[in-house]
Amino acid sequence: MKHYILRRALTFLLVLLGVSILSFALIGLFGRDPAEIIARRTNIYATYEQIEEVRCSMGLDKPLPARYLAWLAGLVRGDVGVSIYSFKPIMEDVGRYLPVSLALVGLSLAWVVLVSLPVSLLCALWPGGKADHAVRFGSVVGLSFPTFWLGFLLLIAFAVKRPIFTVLPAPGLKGYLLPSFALSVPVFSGFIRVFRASLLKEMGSDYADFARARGLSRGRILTRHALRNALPPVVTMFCQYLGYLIAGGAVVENVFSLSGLGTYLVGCVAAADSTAVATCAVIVAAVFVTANLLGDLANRLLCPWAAREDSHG
Amino acid sequence: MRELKVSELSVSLKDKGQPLVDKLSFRLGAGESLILLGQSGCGKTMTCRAVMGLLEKSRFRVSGSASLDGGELLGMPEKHRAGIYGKKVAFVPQNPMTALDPSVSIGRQMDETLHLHTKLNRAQRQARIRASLLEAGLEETERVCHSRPNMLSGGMIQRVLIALALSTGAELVIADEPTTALDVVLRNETVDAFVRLRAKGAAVLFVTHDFAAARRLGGEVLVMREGTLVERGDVREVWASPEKEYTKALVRASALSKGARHADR
Repeated sequence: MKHYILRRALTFLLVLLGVSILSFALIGLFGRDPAEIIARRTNIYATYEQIEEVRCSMGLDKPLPARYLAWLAGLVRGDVGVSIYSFKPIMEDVGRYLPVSLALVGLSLAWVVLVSLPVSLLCALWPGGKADHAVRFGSVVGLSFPTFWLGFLLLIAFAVKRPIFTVLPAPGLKGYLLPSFALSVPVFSGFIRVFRASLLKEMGSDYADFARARGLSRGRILTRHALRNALPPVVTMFCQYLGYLIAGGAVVENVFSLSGLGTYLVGCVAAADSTAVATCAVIVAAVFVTANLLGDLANRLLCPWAAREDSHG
Repeated sequence: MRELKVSELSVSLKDKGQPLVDKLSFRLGAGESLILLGQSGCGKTMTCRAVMGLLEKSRFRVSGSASLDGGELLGMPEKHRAGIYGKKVAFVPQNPMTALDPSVSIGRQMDETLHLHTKLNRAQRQARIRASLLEAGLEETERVCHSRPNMLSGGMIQRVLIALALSTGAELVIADEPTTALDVVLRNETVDAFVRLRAKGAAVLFVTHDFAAARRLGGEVLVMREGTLVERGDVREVWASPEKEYTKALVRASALSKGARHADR
């Protein structure tokens, strides 16, 4: 276990380093010229000299590796400088936008659990039935929905036609209900398919067969035995979505006028703000890797026999 | 239990006409044993699974009758299963290593079965589990109860499954090739456990392709081939003087493998 944690901690640091180098380099090499963007904000006809002056004043004239190392040192100190997109300290921006994203993603994942768990269990209890067919069809439709379109439909239905919610986000939990649902629909549609297949695989296993021979009902076998054994792939998927949704929620944040980290990240990419992009990328990667680690640990607790087989294999 | 009566039992795949079991009939009384013997694919396991109600309705077509003390088992409603299976009728499956939930300890799985079928309190159930494990030949009862299935050998789990049948006081034990994965010593010990079960008054329906195991158990044998009955009679008499060519071939093959085992020694 000690070796496992050490190995995972090392992987964690390597992934963060790799992500930061890639994001910093890609924006630095292929993004627009940030000095020009800043200079033209105040003067659309900025001259070459004026742009160069901005470049020198912001330290953008230094080579990319030197800028990266300076940013890395700042990250260790907890001060990565000022964003050229918002002109505010990047950590202050992150502190403002990250909680919005976390609330949105947290509530989306709550929708995912609330919908996919009972629906998948029902499908596995009566596979091949009318409800099962309807769910399978519905999950394909749900997976195919573009989230921005679904977001607009939800706004039209529940904020315009029937004004239960507001177009601009209301303060508190209510403001997150519609956007989190829109964000969760393709996710729980995918979850239902994976979870249902995993449950049915377990229900077709030898131990489920023998449990029926012991007199246990299908419902009991499903909830007491198959459910736990079917969880590992779903837990892994769930944890992967945690990181993915923080950055991938930008579209929904835009539709519902929420200021989250996804929207901020898109703005920073457009402004070629490599330090802010790299900072956001490292934060998202940290959440992603931590969530995966937690998922692996949860799976080890759920199915310790599988972990033992892995370590022997 | 007075008797298990199987009449004209047929099993076929829904999308294919060829029967996997074709009009098989037999009866089995309390304290008796009946052996279904034949090569792989002859319909032995299908017969067991049909009687146990374990064949998926969407895939298999089952016809005929299998009655336990006059009560029909085929097509039994879900709500009535718990009163019969696991309580009156115990099943010992072919592959012991995959028969139990890998995530749950053996003690808990045995307790779950007893809790479902008896009115015993927790302490009584625990005592009975330990007693039946001892009776099945497992001495380290605490370790066995706290182990998950992957922590024990195939032979030990096989005995756990027999202990499960003992613990519920099953009147009919259906064993699907319980000795296949075992060495000769364990095979004999396992067969002897079934002999003891029978001596206690349980009926034993024993599936095997191994004449040696069948002879050790004794009782009536039904030799099967491609879903149909080839020959029937007392197992020792059939072994001594088989009538049909197929049975003779099985006896020869069994005698040869026995000879090979002696030669190996």
